[in-house]
Amino acid sequence: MTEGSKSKATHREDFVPPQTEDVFLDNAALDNVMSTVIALGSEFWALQKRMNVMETLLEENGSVSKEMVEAYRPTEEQSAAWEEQRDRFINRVYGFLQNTGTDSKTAG
Amino acid sequence: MIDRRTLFGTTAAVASAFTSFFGSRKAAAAVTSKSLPNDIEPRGTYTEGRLERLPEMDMESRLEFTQGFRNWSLRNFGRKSSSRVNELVREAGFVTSPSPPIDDVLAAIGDDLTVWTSVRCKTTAQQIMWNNLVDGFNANKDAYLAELDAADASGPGTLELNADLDIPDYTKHEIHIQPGGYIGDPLGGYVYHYGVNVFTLDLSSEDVFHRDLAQIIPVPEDGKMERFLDIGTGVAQLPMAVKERFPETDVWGIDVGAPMLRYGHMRAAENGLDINLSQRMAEDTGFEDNSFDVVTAYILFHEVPTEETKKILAEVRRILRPGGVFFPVDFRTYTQTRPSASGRFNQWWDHVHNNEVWTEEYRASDFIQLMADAGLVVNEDAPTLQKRFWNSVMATKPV
Repeated sequence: MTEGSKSKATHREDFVPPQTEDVFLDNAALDNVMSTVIALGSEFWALQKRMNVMETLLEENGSVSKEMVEAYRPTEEQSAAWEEQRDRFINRVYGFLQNTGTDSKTAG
Repeated sequence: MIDRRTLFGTTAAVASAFTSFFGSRKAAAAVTSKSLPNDIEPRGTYTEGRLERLPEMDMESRLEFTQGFRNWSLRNFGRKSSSRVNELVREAGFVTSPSPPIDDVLAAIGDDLTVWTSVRCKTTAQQIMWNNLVDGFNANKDAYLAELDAADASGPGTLELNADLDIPDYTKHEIHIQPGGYIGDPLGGYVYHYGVNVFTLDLSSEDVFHRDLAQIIPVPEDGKMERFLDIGTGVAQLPMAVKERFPETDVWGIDVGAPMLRYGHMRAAENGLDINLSQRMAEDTGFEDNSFDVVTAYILFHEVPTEETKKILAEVRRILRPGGVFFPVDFRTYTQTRPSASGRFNQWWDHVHNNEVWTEEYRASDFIQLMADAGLVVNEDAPTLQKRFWNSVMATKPV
């Protein structure tokens, strides 16, 4: 918080956090490992997206800088293609989580 | 948000068009001197500029992943899990629609791995969404707070904050497990706005849902629409949309959460929308009797205990003028629809693990009857915006 900012007075410290533990599996460690694996997926996708942008910029310009990557705006076609790439990644990697012994063992 | 990045190459023409369209936002931006890294709008699929680009590409990419993972969790794995819930409930000897009591559903599910793994996925999607947003906005916290400070006094529109407002305990929960909830994080408005777009599967990006809703808000029979109020307005998406439909109307929004209102005011001002936002309680608005033509409440009541709902409805009746319209939008109660076993299980998750503290109480109430008890006349034939999870209802104050 910036000292002297008006923002200082506009929020309160007495909010109430959730009272329920979110342990759904055999033990908390298993839940935590699953959450970590899912969170890593978001970090992976951030890297993948950066790679996509860099490849595009290199093809278009022959050079790339951090500023160019941050400023890049994908076309509608690129957005659609990258969204499909993301969804295939999610299905391919996390589809295994559906294999719980109640039906087929095929990912996705 | 302000201080956009310089665009490159082929994107420049598009940026120019948006710069022209949102000229008023540029003017508002000039009031501050702070600089955010990589702050630019619009980006990606956000084509109308109402939801600005996040400050860092990685933050935006993580949110895109979360959106995709949530879609998969709900629509792919979620469907399989829902089928499994219904299958287990049937095996336990119950019909699945309408659902048996939740305790029976939970007993039937037991420790089924499909169901609980799916729940783990859905819950973690929510957690990583907030973690990403809180981390990303706080990485530039001073700049965002300076942006809000500068916007507080900017216009068009006004912002009234009340640091001495006596905030009741029921409003202090971290609804949707958003860290700090609506009152505890000075950047809560930013965090909420981007998070709720993911949670609603992109329904409210660019205020699309709010704009659709604004188009069907009924005008009182006499056609008079001089003053409008949205209670529990959050980041003021609905008042913004209402102002666009009724530019001559004096538009107000009130909420308990100052961080939400500050962000909403900044956004309205940047969009050139002259609306008035004020930190007040819906139970005790402080407005004069008979002073509004239309009052709305967008997904407010499922966040409110029933006893407080009664007070709010009485207050709505007080401040509406005779013939004025009340138009709330919210989840359907059990008197309006009865969920299947899997639907009931999802509602239970929302209540217990998504920290929708008051939703169960709301769903168990007869909201239509509560409006009637407050002296409002319900018109169930009025236009309504039907969505999968919620719908709108119209009531009027008798002449």
